[in-house]
Amino acid sequence: MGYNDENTIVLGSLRYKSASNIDSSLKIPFIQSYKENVEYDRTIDVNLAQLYDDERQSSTIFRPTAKIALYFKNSYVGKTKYTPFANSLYYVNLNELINNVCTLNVGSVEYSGYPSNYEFDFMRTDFEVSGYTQVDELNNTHVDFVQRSATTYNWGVYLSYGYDNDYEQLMEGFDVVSQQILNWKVSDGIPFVISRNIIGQISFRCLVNHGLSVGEYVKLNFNYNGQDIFEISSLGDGFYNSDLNIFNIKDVGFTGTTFDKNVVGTFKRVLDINKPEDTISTYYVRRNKILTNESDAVLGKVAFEQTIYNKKKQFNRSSYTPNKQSIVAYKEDNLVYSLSFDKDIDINGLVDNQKRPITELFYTIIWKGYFGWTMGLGPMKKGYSFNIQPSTSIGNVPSSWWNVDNISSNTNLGILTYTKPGVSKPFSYVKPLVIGDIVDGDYCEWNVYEQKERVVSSMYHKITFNPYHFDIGNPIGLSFGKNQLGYYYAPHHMLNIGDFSDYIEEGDKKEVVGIPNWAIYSTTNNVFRWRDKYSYGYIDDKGNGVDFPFFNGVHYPYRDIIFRLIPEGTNYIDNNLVATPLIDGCE
Amino acid sequence: MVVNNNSYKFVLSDTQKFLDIPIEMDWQYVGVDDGISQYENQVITEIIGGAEDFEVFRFGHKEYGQKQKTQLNYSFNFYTGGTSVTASTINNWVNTYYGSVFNFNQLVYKQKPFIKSFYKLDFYDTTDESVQTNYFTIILPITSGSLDEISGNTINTPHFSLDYLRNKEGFFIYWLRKKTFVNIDTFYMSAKFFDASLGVFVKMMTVSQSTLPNKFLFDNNLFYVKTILDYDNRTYSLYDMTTNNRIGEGNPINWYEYVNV
Repeated sequence: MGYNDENTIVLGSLRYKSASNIDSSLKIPFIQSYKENVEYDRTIDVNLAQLYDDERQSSTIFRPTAKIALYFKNSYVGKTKYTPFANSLYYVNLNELINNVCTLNVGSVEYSGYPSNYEFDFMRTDFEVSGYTQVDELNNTHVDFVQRSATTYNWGVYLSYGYDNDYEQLMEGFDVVSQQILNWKVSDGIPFVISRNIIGQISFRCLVNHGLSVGEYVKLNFNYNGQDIFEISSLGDGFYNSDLNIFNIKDVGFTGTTFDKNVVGTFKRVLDINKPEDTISTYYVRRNKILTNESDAVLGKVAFEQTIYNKKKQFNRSSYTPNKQSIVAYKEDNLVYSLSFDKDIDINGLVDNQKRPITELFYTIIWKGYFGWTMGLGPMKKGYSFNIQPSTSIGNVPSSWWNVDNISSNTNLGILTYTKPGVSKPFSYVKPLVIGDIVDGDYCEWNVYEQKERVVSSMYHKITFNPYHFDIGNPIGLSFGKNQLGYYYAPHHMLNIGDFSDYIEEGDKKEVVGIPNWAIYSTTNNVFRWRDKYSYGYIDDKGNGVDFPFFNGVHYPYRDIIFRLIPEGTNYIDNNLVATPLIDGCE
Repeated sequence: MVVNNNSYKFVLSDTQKFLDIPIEMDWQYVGVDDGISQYENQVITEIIGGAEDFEVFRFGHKEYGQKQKTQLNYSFNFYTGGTSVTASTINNWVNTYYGSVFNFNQLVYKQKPFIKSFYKLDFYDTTDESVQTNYFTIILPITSGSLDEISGNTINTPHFSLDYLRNKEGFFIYWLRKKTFVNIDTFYMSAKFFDASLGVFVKMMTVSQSTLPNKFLFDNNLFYVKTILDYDNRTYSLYDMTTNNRIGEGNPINWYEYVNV
C-alpha cells in the first residue's frame, strides 16, 4: 500500500489576504492492513506417503549393495620351485611327485598342480598356512597375513560411474569365417566382413551385435559412386540369432569390387538418410571414474548360499609337501559374498559421460593378485568380447591381441612389485585404485537423436600367471611368456540407480518451460530433444525405471552379480577318474 | 522503517514550505504461500519426524604391532570358592569352567546349562550407573570359546580369540554411521556372564578382588573397559580405565568374576 499524493503546506497570509500566519502541524496516520490466512491455508492433513515421496525424490545419496557369486573353475596346471607356492598347490600326478620326492634331491623336485582356490577368491581365509601365510619351522613365509586385508589381497572392489568417452582407442578382431584380422579405431564404428551368400542382397557379418533395425541406414567407411549410406533391407541369414550380427542391403546391381566377398570395413548407424549428421551414431570406449577406495568395500560371506560348483579339496600329506607340513588344498570352492560400502555416494552435481544426470553406477572389480602368482610380464591386458575365444581344448592359442608386446591391449592400471630373499624375480600385483582414478570401460554406441546409449561390447581384463614363479607352459608355437593362456573377467557391472523415459520430449525454448540442461538441439526438427528422468519408484509399462528401498534418507540400490572367471582353455586333462569297479559291493 | 509518531511543526516563514513524506507501505502477499509451505514442513517434521540416518558402520579391532594384527582376546576368570573373598588370592580365580561353573558332564556333553549360557558385553555412555544408558550389547556364545582337553574330551574354555576371519562373532562393533542422531564415540564396556545352570547374571570386573585393598569398596571404573571408535578407519580400541593405556594388543583382556559376599 502506498500514498503517492503530495501535500502542500501554504503560509496563511499567502492563501488568503486577511488570514493570519499561524503555526501549522501535520499529523500523519500510519495505516497498516493485514490479511489473515484463510482456514484451509492454515490446516493441512499430514500425509506420510507424500512426505516419504518428497524425501525420496530430493535425496541424492546412494548406498549400493550387492551379492557376488564367484564362478571359477581352476583350469591351468603349472610348475613351481618356489617353496611357499609349492606348499599350497593342489597337486596333480601325485604318484610321480611322491616318486620324485623319494628319489631326487630336495632342490630339484618340481611341484606341479593347480594354484589353490584361495588365489582367486574374494576373501582369503588361508591365514594360517605354515610356510605360506604363517612362518614355518624353517622360518619361511610368503606373506605375513593381515586379517583385515583378507578381502583386498586378490581383488579390489570399487564403485564407479561413466565419466567420459575415449574415441581414439585402437581395436582388433578376428573374423573366423574369412580368417582375417580386422583393425579399426573405436570411433570408426563397428567392423564387418562382406559375404555374398544370398542372391539379391549383400550381407555384412559383424564381430559384435550391430544394433540395427530394418529401415534404418548404415554409413560405410567407403562409398559406391559417392554413395556411402545404404538402407537396411533385412537382418540375419536364417540361422538362430544371426540377426544380431548380420545385416543386409539390397543388391541393386552394384558392379566392381566395392561389395566383393570378404571386403572389410566399418559402419555407423544412421536413422534418417535426409539428416545423417543429426541422426548418426557415435562409437567410443566409455571411461569410468572411481568413487570409492579399496578399503571402503565391505565383503562378507553369505550364509546358506553357494554357487553351482562343488567344493573340491585334497589332503596333501606332510611326507611330500616341500616344508613337510600337511595341508588341505582347495581346487574350487562355491562361496557367495555380500558387498556393501562404507562410503555413501552423493550423485548431486555428477554427470555421466553424456553430460546427463547419473542414472548408472558400476561395481568395478579389479584383479589385484597381491600374492604374486600372476602378472610379471607387463601391464594388465584388456579386450572385448570379440577378443575372447574360449576353448576347452588343449592347444588353444590366444589371439594376437593379447600378445605382451601389443600396447593397444594394455590397461592403464599400475603394477607394483616386491621381492623375497633368495628369489631372483620380483612378485608383481596390480596397484589399487583410489577415488578419482579413471579406467577404461565398455565399448558403446551413442545416438544423439535417440538420446540413447548402447553397450556394443563389455570390456574384459585378462589375468595371466607370472611364468617366473608359476609356469603353465606356452601355447604351441609361442615363445616364453609371449601370449599365455589365462582367465578373463568383466570388471564393470552396471547398477541402475535411475532411468530416463522411454519417450522423447521435444520443445522450443521460447515456448516450453523446464527444458533440462541435457537436452540436445536437433537440426532435423529445429527443437530441443531430451528424455525425461523418471522419478524414483516409478516404473513404466516397459519396465523402465527403478524402485529400490529408500530409508534413512538414502537410496539402497541392489544387484546380484555373477562374477565369472572365464578360462581361455586349459592345459591339463584330469584323468584321475574313479575307475569302474570290477567287483561291486553286492558281490 | 522506523515509525516516528511525533507531530511535525512548521514555524512561520516567508516562503512556501513543502513536506514530501515518502511513506511506502507495500504490504503484498508475495512469498506468503512459500512461507506457509515452509512452516507446514516444519510442523510436519515436528509431528512425525524427519528422515534420520540409522545406518551403521562395522568397526573392527584396530591393528597393533608391526604385523598389523587385529586379534582380540577375552579371558573370563571364575571364582572357585573354597575361601572367603577377603582371604582370597589371585589363584582363586581360574580361566576354566571346570570346577568353578560347570561339572564334567555339562561341559563334555554340552548339556543345556552349558550351551544356554553366554557372555553379555554392554556398552554404556558413562560409568556412572545412576545416569548411564546402555546403547548396545554384544553377545558372546559360550561355544565360541577356545578349545581344551579334559580327560581326552574336547571342551570349551572361557577364552575367546576373535578376529576378522573364522571366530568373528562379537569381534565387530556395529554403531551409527553418522553422529547426527547421537554424537558419541566413546563407550564403557562391562561384562556379564549368564549362568544358565543357575539362571543368574554374574558380573565381571577387570581386576581380581584379591588384589584390592578393600574387597567390597572400590572404584566403580573397575567394572569397565573404555572403548573408543575411530570413524576415519572404522576401527575401535580398548583402554584400561585406570591407566588409560590401550589394552587387547595381543594379551587377553582379563575379566574376573565379582563376588559380593
